[in-house]
Amino acid sequence: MPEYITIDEIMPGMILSEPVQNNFGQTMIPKDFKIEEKHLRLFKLWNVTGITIKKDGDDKKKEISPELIKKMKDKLESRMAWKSENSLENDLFSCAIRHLAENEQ
Amino acid sequence: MNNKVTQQKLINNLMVKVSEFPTLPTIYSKLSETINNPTCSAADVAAVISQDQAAVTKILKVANSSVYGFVRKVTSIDQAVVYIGFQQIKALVLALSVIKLFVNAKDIKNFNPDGFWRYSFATGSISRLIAKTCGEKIIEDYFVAGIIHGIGKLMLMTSIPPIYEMIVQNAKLSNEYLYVVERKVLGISHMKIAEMLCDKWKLSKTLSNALGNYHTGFVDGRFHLMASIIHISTVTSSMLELGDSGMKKVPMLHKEIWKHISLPDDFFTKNYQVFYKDYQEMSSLLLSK
Repeated sequence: MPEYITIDEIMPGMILSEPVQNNFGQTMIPKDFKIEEKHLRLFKLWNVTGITIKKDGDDKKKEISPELIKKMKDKLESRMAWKSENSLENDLFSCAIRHLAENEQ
Repeated sequence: MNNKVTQQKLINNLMVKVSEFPTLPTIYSKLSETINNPTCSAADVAAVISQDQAAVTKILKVANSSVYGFVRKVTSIDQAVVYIGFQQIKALVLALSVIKLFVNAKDIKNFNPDGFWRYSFATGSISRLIAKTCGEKIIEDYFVAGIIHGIGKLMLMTSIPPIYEMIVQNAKLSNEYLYVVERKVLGISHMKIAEMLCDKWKLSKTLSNALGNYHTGFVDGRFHLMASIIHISTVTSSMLELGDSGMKKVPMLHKEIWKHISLPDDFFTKNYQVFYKDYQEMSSLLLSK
């Protein structure tokens, strides 16, 4: 899952998960670019307050094993005293399972 | 009988603590006064906010975050006031003021202010999106209501740390709702404490009712939009384990609210990326010193 970090937390080697854009919406540094030392100075010059970076394993998080989904489902259900009964509640439940599984990986 | 006497003493003690609790910083009352004046300009509003440099810095950070997604960078508080709007800025200042009042809150066992605020920012971000989907005009009011909905817990955490530590531990171990354990031990819940704080700070009745009844979404048996939106958002934050609500158990979803609130069937999966990013960004911006 990409993570937003402030200017003070940016380190060389981090990879952008979203492009850095200027005040006019033009892309200054594209997505997937690896940040180098020189960019830290540029970010300050461009008044960039924060960027969104990739966290380890972001690209391989797409696939979640059925076992992990089952484990997260059981874990979540053990904390709930109610069951999802309509499409919207099912959607909330699926969203939560997916999120918990992605963060467990 | 003894239990009742002890409980009454605790309640009286908490009442005193609430009444002695600081008022909101003057910037908020000055801002309210300025905005209530029909002839006030953006420059007047900006001038009031400029008196608090910490608030200026935080508002500019929020204005430049993905929550607003402005294409142009907001570089001054004057611009922020114009782009974001008077009432919206006032709501943000309220959130910053409340956060500031609890800045010295200390950790207790199994619960810390950092986790508490993360949970609150998640609730605020989700509330804002639900309010927007429901067609509400001032969605910042919902954002802020979500952020400050649990201030009663912080008040208890700071007023009676050893007792509240025991309550939180009890709720987590027994997989019980926090407010149920609070009522058993203290005879009063954090929702009631939040309502009392709102009244002390002379905040709107809508907000006070919402904070006092967000666990059901209904006030005196009547549907309450803000309380219901916070209700759905707290359930969502808890299910996704965003921050720490102080209990393991997911809040009971009061399904009656679906008779009054209509959201698309894919609302959560469709908006997940947006509210998760807003939550991360708000936590990073507002929890930084």
